[in-house]
Amino acid sequence: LFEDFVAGRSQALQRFGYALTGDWALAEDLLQTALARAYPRWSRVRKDDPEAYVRKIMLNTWSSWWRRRWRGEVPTAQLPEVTSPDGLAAVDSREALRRALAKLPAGQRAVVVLRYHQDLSEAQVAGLLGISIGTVKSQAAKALAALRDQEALRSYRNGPVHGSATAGGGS
Amino acid sequence: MASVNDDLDIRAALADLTEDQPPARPGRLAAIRRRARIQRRRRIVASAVAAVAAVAVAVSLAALPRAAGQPPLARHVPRWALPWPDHRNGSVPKSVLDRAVLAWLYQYQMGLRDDGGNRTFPAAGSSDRRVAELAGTYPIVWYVGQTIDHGSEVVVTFEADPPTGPQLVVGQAAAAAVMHNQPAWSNRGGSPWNLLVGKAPNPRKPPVAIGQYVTVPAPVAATNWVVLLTAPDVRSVHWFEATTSGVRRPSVRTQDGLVVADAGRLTSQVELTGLSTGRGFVRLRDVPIGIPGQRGAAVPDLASPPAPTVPGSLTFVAGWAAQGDQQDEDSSFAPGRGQYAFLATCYGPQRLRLTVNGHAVGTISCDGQQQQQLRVPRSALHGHGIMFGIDTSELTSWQVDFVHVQRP
Repeated sequence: LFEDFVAGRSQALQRFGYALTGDWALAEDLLQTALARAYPRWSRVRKDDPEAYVRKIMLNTWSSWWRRRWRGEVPTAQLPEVTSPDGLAAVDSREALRRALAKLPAGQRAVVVLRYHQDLSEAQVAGLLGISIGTVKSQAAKALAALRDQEALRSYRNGPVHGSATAGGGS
Repeated sequence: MASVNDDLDIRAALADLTEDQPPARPGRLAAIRRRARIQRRRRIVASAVAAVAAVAVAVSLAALPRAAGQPPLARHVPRWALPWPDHRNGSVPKSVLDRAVLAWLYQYQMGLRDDGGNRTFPAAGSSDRRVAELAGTYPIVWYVGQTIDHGSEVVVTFEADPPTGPQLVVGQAAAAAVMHNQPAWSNRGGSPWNLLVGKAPNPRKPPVAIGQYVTVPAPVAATNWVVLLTAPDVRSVHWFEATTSGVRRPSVRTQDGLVVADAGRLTSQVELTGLSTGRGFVRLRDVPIGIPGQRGAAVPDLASPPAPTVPGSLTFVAGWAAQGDQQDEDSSFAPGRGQYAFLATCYGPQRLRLTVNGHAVGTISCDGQQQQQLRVPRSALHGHGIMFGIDTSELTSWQVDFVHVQRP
């Protein structure tokens, strides 16, 4: 049932959304958009893996948002509409990782999140993104190299700093 | 290649990053149902309105004799604007359209060299009235402002008359990113609106059409919508479209000069081949859909070709999937013994020209499904690191793998 799916998988899918967007509000919006799109078609969704269907809609929606943000972006000296007070962001390992992830190209970021957060196989990631397994491997390697270069992973060398690590949320 | 440590580190890091999840939104299910209900209702209303409007227009056109040569449904607009109808249908609130104007206005002010920092934008949460005041800084003439794809996307077209001369603005945004009166610009310097801005066309020599592609994510693959604005006396447009499902030459009826159609997964530009007006048929020589003076607007997001298949005798090194030119660098690459090669699948009007470390290594023809192979001369590989370059037309879609040919 759709109700059971929403109740059971929303948290994991929202974590997936956050890993993609780096923003809980956007992740919430992304998930809500995907669920609203999936709801009318639910009877036709494959029963064995409805989560893959919703995840695919989330990916497509996010890539569309991402492309638009990038294309619409203009360097600015001043900020016209401020949505939160200015101030130094707390510099901690999560923030460093979030920022490092945000700097990755969309394709690499999607590969990293699907492969290491959602714990999908390389073949599954390739199928979802419509690219070859080789491309998945090279994108993942590049992304990890970039994260390593920015030392975003440094704090996690001996396990996470904040709380305890949990298993990938969405698999 | 990622080490085992990196592999574990990134898993731990991502799990930790997403751990502080805020509490679940209350009433999520009800909100989803409400949203789906609203979208369904919008579809029904839109269909009903379209049907009623079509009947009404048909009846009025039949009943009212029109002076020869006078376009129907023309309206009075300033002399600098196109005398084409206002197609806003009420599906997008005025407050959202005002924010689209604000997005353009800020972009315009940023483009002025000596604006002296005189930007008059409100803080987030400003009233719709304040936003409307700012959006009225310069005269605006609206043509399109509506949702498409069952309410998931918002498209706009308007002309503005700032001091530097009239401008044509054609844009789109994801409905979820703008319909709740989100700011026109975020504090990260980005905007949810994707606007194409150019010099307004001369109303005495109007363009054949003003068109835009809207790529909409779908469960299986992205699909392209076409939003096309023509003179109001154009009753139908004829175009050529090539998609993953095949080639079509549809004739699409306009609604007073406006066409909104799902063209599917495109594999080339959509080209206008003719217009039917009250005065007859006008044949066109394959005019690409787009915006006058904006070359980039005529390039849709094309469907990707199938990924290359790497035979067991070859080892994958790197791969890319894109459209048009691309360059990439891998500083960690160290050439091994044996040969290297490119495998490619592509389609489009031009061949792929491949370079390695600035050396041209050859071209690959793009004939659709057939996978091509191109050997890389050893002379192009030297020392550590490698720079790849792929040059081709922006209407050529491709996937390329760089592989190592293993020695027996």
